[in-house]
Amino acid sequence: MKNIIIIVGICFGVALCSCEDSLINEPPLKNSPVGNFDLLWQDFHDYYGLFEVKKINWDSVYAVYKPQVHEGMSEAEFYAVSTSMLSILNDAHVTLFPTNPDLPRWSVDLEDGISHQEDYKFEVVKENYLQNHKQAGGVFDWGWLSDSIGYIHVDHFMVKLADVDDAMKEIAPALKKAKGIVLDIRDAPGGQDPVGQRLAGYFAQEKYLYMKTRKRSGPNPADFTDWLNWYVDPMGGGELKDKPVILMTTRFTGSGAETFSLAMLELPQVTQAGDTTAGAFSDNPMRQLYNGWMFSLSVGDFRDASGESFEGRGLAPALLWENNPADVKAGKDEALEKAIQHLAE
Amino acid sequence: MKATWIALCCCLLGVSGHAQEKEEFFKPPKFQLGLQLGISTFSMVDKAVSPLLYKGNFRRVGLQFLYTSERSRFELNLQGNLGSYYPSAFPNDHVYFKELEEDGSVKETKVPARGSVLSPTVKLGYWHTLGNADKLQFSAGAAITEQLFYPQGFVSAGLMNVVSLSPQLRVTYAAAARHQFEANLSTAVLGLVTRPPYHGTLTQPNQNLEGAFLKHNTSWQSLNKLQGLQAEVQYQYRMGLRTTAAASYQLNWLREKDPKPFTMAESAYNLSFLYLFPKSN
Repeated sequence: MKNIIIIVGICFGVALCSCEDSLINEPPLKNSPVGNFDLLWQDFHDYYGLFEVKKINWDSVYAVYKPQVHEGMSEAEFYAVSTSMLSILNDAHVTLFPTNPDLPRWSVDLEDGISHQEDYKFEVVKENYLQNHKQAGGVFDWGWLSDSIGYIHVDHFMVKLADVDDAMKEIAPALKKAKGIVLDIRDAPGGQDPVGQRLAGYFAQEKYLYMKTRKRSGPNPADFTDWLNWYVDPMGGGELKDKPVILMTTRFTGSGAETFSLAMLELPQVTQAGDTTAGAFSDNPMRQLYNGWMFSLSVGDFRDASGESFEGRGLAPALLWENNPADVKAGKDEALEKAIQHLAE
Repeated sequence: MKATWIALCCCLLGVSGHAQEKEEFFKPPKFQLGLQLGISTFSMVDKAVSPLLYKGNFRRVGLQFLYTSERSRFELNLQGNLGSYYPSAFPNDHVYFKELEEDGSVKETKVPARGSVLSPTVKLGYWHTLGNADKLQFSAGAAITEQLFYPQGFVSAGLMNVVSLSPQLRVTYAAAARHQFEANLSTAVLGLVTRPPYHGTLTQPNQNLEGAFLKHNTSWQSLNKLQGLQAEVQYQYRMGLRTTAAASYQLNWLREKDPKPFTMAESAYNLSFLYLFPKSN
C-alpha cells in the first residue's frame, strides 16, 4: 500500500507541474507605442489587399507616420496617429477596436464610435407600407407593397445557403404574380458572399459571371492568389427571373450585401435605387496588437465581372433617391414610394 | 481546482469495495464502457493572427469504449471540449461599443475581449502487448485521432482540424489487486491538417464556411511541418465487481508550420468511471 501511495504521489506531482507553459516559446511582448505601431504597419503591409487598387504606397505612409510615434506617448496619442494613418486607406472594412474605454471604436464610417442610420428604418416599411408581412429563413421579411408590387427585405447575409433555399421556396412562388419586386437591402451590413450568390440565383435565367476575387497569399504586397471567378447559377423554378426589380441600397449596404448587389446588377431587369453603397467588399479578418487592441483589414481585391473595383467608392445607384431623416422619423419612406411608383408605371 | 481533483483521488484510495471481486471478471477478454469528466488548461501562439500568447481552459466530457483481449487492446474515445481563451497579457480587457438610442442618448456596451472555443475529439487506437510479464506490461500500437479546434471570438486564434496518425507506447503496472498504473506516450507522424490560408479567410463560391474550410485548406503533413506529442499517466482503482475509477493527467503538445507557425500545449486532468460488461459465457 505504501508503494502505491508513493506512485500516486509521483503521478500527481507530475500533474501539478502543469508544464504546458514551458513547452510554448512565448514571443516577446513588444507592448510599446513603437512596437505596436510597427506591428500595425507591418500587418497591413503583409496582409492588406487593396494597395494597388487604391494606389497607396505603404512604405511612404510609414515614412510619414513613424516619426510621429515615440516611446512614452499616451494611448490617446498613439490612437490618434494610428487612426490618422488608417484613414488614408478610406476603407470601411478597416476597424480599430481599442480596449481603452476612453477611446472609441474607429472606422472611416463611424462618428465617435457610433454608426447610426437615419435615412431608413425597416420598421417604417413594416408598419406603413408592407401588407401580408411574413418572415422566412431568419433574415427575410416579405409581403406586398400593393396588389402587384412584391417586397423582400434582407436583414443580413450571415446565414446558411440552405436557409436561403428554404426561404425562397416559400417566397418565389408566392410573388410569382407580382408585376415588379422591391428588393430592399438598405440596412444590410453584409455577411457571407455565397449567400448573396445563392439568392441572386432565384432572379437569374442563366449562369453568369458577376465577380472576380483574389486575396493576399504572402508578405510581398504583390503576393496574391489566382483570380477566383464567381458565377450565379439559376435557382428555383424561375418564378422571379423576368420580374423588374428595384434593388434599394444606402451607404449602410456593405460587404456581403455589396457583393450581392454586384450579382444582381448583372441582371438586365434589375435597377439600383436609393443611395451609394458603403464601398467595402473584401473579407476582413481580425488581428491583434501587442497592447491587446484589435483591428480588421481587407485582405482581398474584389471586382465586378469586367474587372472594375468599387472599393472605397461603392456602387452608385442609377436612381438616386435619398430619404430625408425627418421624413423617416415621421414614418415616411419617400424612396420606397418612388420605387412603388416606378414599378407600377 | 487541482486540489479538488487530488482530494477526489485520495478519497478513491480510501474506499474499499464491499463485494468480493471475482478475479476472472477482470481478466481478458473484457469490454468496458467509460464516462470521462475533465478540465484542462492550454496555452497557444498562432502567428497567423497575432504574436500574442493566448491562454484558455476546457471543460471536458468523454465516452470511452475499451476492449481488452489476451494481447490486444482497442480503444474508442469520444470527447467534447468546451472552453474559452484570452490573450495571456490582457485577461480582463473589454471592447466598447456605442449605440445611439431613439431619444438621442448613447448606450455603451462592453464586451470581454475573449473568445469561446469548441473542440470535439475522436480517437481510435490499438495496442499489442509485448512480452509475457505479469505485473509490468509493455504494449505498442497506433491511434488515429481527429481533433477540431473551433474558436469564436474577435480574434480566431488556432482554428484547425487535424486528423493524425500516431504510434503509441503504453506501460501498465498492476501494483495490487485493486490498483493499476498506466503511462502512455505517443507522437504524431502523419496528419491531414486543415488551417485557414495565409489571408485568414475561408469564403468560397457556393459553399458554407465549414465546407469551404475543410475542402480548400486541407493537406497531408508529416514531421517536417506537423509535430505532436501526447503523454499520459493514469491511476486506476477497481471499486467493485464491475466498476473502475481512473484519474489521469495528460500533456498534449502540437506544432504546425503552415501558413504561419502555430503552437499549443495543454494540461488535462481527467476522472473516468468504467463499467465492466458481463462476459457472454
